[in-house]
Amino acid sequence: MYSELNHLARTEEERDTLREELQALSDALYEKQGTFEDALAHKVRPATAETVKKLLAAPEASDKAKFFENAAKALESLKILELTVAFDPKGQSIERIWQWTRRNVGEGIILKFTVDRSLGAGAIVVYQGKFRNYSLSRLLEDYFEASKNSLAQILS
Amino acid sequence: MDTQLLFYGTIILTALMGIVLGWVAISYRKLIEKYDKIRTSAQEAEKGLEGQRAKVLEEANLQARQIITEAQTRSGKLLSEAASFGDQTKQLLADELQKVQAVELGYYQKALEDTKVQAQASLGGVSKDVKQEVVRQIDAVRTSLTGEIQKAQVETRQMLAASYKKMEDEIQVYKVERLKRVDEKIFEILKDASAKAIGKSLSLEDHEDVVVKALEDAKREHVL
Repeated sequence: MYSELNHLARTEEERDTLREELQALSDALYEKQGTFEDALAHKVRPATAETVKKLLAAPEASDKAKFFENAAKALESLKILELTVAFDPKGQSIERIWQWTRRNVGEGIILKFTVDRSLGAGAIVVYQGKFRNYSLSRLLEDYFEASKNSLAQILS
Repeated sequence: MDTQLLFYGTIILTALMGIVLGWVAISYRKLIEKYDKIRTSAQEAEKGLEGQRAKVLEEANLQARQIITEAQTRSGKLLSEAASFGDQTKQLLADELQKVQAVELGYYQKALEDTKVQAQASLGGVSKDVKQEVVRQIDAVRTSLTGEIQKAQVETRQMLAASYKKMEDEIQVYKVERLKRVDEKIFEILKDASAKAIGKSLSLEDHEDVVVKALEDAKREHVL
């Protein structure tokens, strides 16, 4: 049931935000009557409020405090896919890349983007201790290395 | 005949021998008598001499006593005169000493002058000798130095040539290395420039496509 929270936490930044939202909702449980509903309405993003309401409606989420505790644990257990890219990915780009990852790699993964424009294009991928450079910069490096002699002749 | 001759000859010889023996005996007797006389006169002379010797000794003793007595008298007199040695005597002695000093000073001055002249002469000679020796040494040093300088020039020239050759080789190696680095730097600049230029020319969708393509490659290569 907590996999739906992954839609709200596609990147590491979104996970930080969601963690704070869930903490705020959890804290509201222990305050006066109506505070939790007020927090759902004003202290979290609409998408978060909607997802939380949907999840809390399920019979297994009758214990709200337990629900938030497990939700926090689920967030921390998400795997991180680190991508160094040459552009600044925003909403649609994040969604596309995240959806591809979800479909082709699996659930429970969040993206951690780093921007390095010297890459030109492509990405450096780091996942669970594995590293691979798929950038345009590396392709060009390979090309220049292979064509060094002929290029040197052209330059001279 | 012969026997007679021999007989008479023997007789003659025997007679001759008797004569000779007689003469010898007479001579011996005379000699003994002469000896006795001489011995007698010698003993007498000796006795006379002993008497004279005793007399002389007695006279000598007497004279010695007289001399000692006289010496004692004179010494006493001298001692008494010494006690009365006065100022006049001291003045005379001081004058004499001054005279002696003046004379000695004159001698010393003269000796000093002579020494000075001799020293100048000697030193002049020494100076001349030293000059000659120094000139000779300088010539020797100059000759030696000329040889050393020529040797050093040759060695320096050789070292310079070797250094120049080594430097040229090093420069050549350095040049090749630098050119290699320049080439690498050029390629790096070209690579970065190309990457950035291509990156800027790509649209957001193109970037997404390339990233997705990278992810597909990663999945194919089991990185994901």
